[in-house]
Amino acid sequence: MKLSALFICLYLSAPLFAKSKQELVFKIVPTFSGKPVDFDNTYYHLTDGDSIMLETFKCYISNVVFYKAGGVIFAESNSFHLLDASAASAMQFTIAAGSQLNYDEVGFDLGIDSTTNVSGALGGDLDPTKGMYWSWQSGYINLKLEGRSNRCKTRNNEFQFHLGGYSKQTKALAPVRIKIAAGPVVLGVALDKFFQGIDLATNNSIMIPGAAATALAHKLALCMAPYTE
Amino acid sequence: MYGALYGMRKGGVILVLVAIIGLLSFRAKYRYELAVPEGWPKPEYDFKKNPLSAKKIELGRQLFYDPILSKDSTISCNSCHLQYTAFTHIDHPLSHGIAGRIGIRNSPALMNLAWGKSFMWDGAVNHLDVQALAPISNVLEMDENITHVVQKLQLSAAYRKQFYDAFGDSVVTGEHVLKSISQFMLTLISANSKYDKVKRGTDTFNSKETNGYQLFQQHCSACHTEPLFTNQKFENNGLMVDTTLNDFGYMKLTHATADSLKFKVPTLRNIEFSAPYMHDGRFKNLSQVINYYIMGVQQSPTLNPLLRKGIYLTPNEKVDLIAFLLTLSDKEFLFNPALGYPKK
Repeated sequence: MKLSALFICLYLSAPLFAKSKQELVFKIVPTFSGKPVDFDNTYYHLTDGDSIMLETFKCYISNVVFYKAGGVIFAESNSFHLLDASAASAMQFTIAAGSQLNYDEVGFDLGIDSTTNVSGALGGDLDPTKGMYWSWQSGYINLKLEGRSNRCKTRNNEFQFHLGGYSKQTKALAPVRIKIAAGPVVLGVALDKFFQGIDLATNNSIMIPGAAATALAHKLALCMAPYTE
Repeated sequence: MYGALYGMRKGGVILVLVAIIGLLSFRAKYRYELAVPEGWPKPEYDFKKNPLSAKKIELGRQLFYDPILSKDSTISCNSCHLQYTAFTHIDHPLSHGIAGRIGIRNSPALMNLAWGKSFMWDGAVNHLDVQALAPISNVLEMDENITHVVQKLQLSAAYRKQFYDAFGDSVVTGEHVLKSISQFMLTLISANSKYDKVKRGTDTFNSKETNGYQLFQQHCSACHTEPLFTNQKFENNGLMVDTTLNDFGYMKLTHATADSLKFKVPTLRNIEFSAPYMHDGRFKNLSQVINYYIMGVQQSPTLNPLLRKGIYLTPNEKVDLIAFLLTLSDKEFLFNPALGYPKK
């Protein structure tokens, strides 16, 4: 039954596409010690002996580009994607590439570029109702990372990193380029590596653009690497 | 064979033409052209990204006057931005929010926003479309959030219909809410004051107003630049810090000490009706403002250089300057029914 439905869909959609269209999966997997993070549930050990639980991971991936030998072979248009770890399916998206892509490197921005930040009300994943737009000062939140740790002497031991900023002085946008074999793009974000060297006792709340936000956004970008599920 | 094909092609062309004409006439029915007043600069707002239509403007007007935007449905945009007082809050130095909460700044008068380069006293908002997010979310103002506003609007059959009529989609989105509020705000154009009529040659200043205009050009127009009566820049005009507020203005946005105590230069249009004055509403009338510029300016590193030596005016000159400022009142704007509370 399912199979016949698939065939009907394929048959109906065939005339719509002159060339065969490749739907490329792009997926982000937050990891701790090499394993996918179990959000809201598992406490992990930090290198300093304290523990940490992760609750929120939301980020924008934009301007996705595929390279072969350093040259651009495909750049997604209108490329803005909000990823949200609160739903497994929301940690991936598909890219409608025109043909089979034989790339060896992928590039993208972690966050939203400055032009888009000054372009008024936008829709889709950029709609301000998505909870990733500051109201008191215009601009997108590129990345939200929240959780708890007994290092944080805060209410409920919570830490909150809302990282953004698009002006020259506060630019939190982190460009990423990663060598990767052609096929579905699956990138791990090694959060154990990210939290190394961050003292959650003193650095546990960033909610405004500035040097602190920029430093953490770029640090997170450096924790991304191809991941085998 | 060729003839038949040609005939088919001709038929196709006619069909396409009919469709285009139909589409254009549908669009023309609701299209709204914003007239740029003579001699004014090109608007900053990019109308291509949000083309005006009568239906969208009407929806925006409905939203502007509807307290549904606030958490407890008691405060609308209009609560702090009343038409008859140049779309600001009269009598209150600081704006009031839900549950009797009091904000930290004087609500600005709203007009000629299509020319605005940034918004709020400290320029924290970079585009008219996203301006409404600030008062909606501020706990001292509406204490709501746009996601919940969208949910509430989606539950209203009347709004679903209005969104359908305006955007061809009854699904309410944050983008459409904000763009329609922008559309209404873009229509708040004040360009029919006596000053404008004098500039257009259809009215004349009396001798006091003429003298006042000269004094204005000599002492005020560097910052309150014609025809918008603001240079849209951030300036320190020498106000002593109110220690109950400790508001340092533009520095909050730029993190630069060189921007300490700078606030957006407000327009002087309709100033007769927009008291109290300054970002914290400290002056109750125009006489207090002018006396302040003569005697009250505080020296500080970021003070605008033009104010360092102070402004000297005789009592008669003060009267004349105020006479000129009153020519900036635009009753056609203040009492235009199209900008008022929407009629059901």
